[in-house]
Amino acid sequence: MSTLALSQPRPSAFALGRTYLHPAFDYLLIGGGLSLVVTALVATSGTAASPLVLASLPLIVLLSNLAHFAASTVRLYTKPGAFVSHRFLTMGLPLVTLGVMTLAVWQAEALGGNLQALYLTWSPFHYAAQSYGLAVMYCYRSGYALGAGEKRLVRVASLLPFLYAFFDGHQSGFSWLVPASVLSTQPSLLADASVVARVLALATLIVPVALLGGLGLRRPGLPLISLLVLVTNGIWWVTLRYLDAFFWATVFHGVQYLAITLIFHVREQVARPGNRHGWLRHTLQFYGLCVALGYVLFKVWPSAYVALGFGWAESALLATAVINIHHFVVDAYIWRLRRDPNYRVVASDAPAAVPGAA
Amino acid sequence: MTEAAGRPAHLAYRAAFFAGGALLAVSCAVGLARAVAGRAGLPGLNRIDAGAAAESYHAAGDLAAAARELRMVTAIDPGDCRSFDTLANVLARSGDDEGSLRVSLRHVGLHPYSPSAHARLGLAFQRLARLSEAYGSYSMAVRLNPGEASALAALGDIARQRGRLDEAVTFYERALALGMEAANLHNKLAIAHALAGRRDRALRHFDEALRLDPGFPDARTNRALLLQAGGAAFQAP
Repeated sequence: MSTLALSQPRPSAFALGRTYLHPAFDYLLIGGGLSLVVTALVATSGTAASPLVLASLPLIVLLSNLAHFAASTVRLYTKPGAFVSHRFLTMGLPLVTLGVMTLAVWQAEALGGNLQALYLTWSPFHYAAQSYGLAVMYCYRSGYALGAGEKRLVRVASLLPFLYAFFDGHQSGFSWLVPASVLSTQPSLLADASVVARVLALATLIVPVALLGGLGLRRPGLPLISLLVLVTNGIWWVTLRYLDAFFWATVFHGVQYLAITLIFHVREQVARPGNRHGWLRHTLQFYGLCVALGYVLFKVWPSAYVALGFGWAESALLATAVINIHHFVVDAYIWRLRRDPNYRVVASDAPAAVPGAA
Repeated sequence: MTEAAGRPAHLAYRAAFFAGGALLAVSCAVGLARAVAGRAGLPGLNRIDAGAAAESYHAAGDLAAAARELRMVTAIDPGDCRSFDTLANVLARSGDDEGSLRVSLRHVGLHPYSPSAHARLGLAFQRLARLSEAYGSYSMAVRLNPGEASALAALGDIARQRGRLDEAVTFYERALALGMEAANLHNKLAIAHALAGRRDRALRHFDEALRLDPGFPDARTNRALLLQAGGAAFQAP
């Protein structure tokens, strides 16, 4: 008796993964696919903006970028149990933030530049952390459990755009942290940093594909969106910065953030015992709050310091820096999965873990 | 025991929360009132421009207030090249040429590869009659960006002041080829030719300047001078 051996098709390194709303929505807005289309337009035509888009830019910024800064705060205060699990963040940080802002505006010439440099240095790290968080989150959700070593690989790939920006920044990162006295005695340091930045720019575009591709080949089924968020962030920092169109990165980073935050918020609210409202009501309520708070913080708050006798320059610049830093701090805590209600949203409807995870 | 120990901390957090919330609410209300009073309406959605107040002061002729705002912008955001440039200009307009030079030097120190920063530094040196340093700065601007037309024109001015007339003509013609303020440049070219004794070429460029800008008084006066007194009317300083 003979047996017929059927050859099994080799499983693909990447899979669509389990998305939250619809693959098109997740891949275009959260994965950043749409931003790649805009990047291609900017690269080929010099601008991705028709006169209509240009006229709408302030509104686009309010609805995406400014609203996303407010979203972390709104998320914090609407997250179940946040006042207990994040006491300092919910109750202490607002007063500390006000204190830092007031001190910085008061001593703007001495402190303002450092606060600005801190925010500019931290910003690419925040983008990197967001892309890492999303990449890992989609792996969890798709049942592709990552081992500690694999998480490190994803972390390395996600941090490259931050490292690139760190060495490439003229008023932040390396050139801010290395004392001016050292730079003046060793001017070649800046040239060396520039070379490092160029190497990192290249690595930013290649390494995520190589690392996650290798991971997928070793253990097939890695959700493609995890790779996409990393690649997209790299392209934002390297390509859009080079094209002097980083503004679009801030817009799409905001869209990405708002989309995932809304999904978490709405799912939590709808699942609450006694909830009587549908998803649309929760969505509009949350997003409306984000837009209103974003407007008040960025457009109104600086004028309070002008009313106190400070100049518009320091009030506007430092309010932006302080709001950014507050957002970075809050964001670092509210997305943790371990022992957190977030985990329920990530794991809801998730398939069983892919066997063979390290 | 633990709960009792944690109570003061919790009370402190609550106090901090209410204090922070109240202060933020009051400051936002004050900010709203200030913004509405200043603009006769809610703040617009336009990009947050730290230099906006400086521009308003500058336009209103309050150079001291404009300089104060711009100093703050450049201290906090040294990446804002436009504010460095405007600050140097405001200081020069208010007669503080040394201050303008200091700002321009700082600008170049922070942005050594910025052609416009070097061009601005050249202007600051030129205003202090430090022509060699001005020439060096303008040359660096042109080296970094061969299309830096204002620096080319300024190099032409310095060459003309030093009596290097053919060099001046070359610089002016390069600036002209870049499409810079044609009437003014034709006038300068005409003067350089007049000084070099090339009367016909000088007349041709004065005529071209007047064709481009019929109301250009310098070109009209210079042309008349050339016709009356010849090239000797234009003595290089």
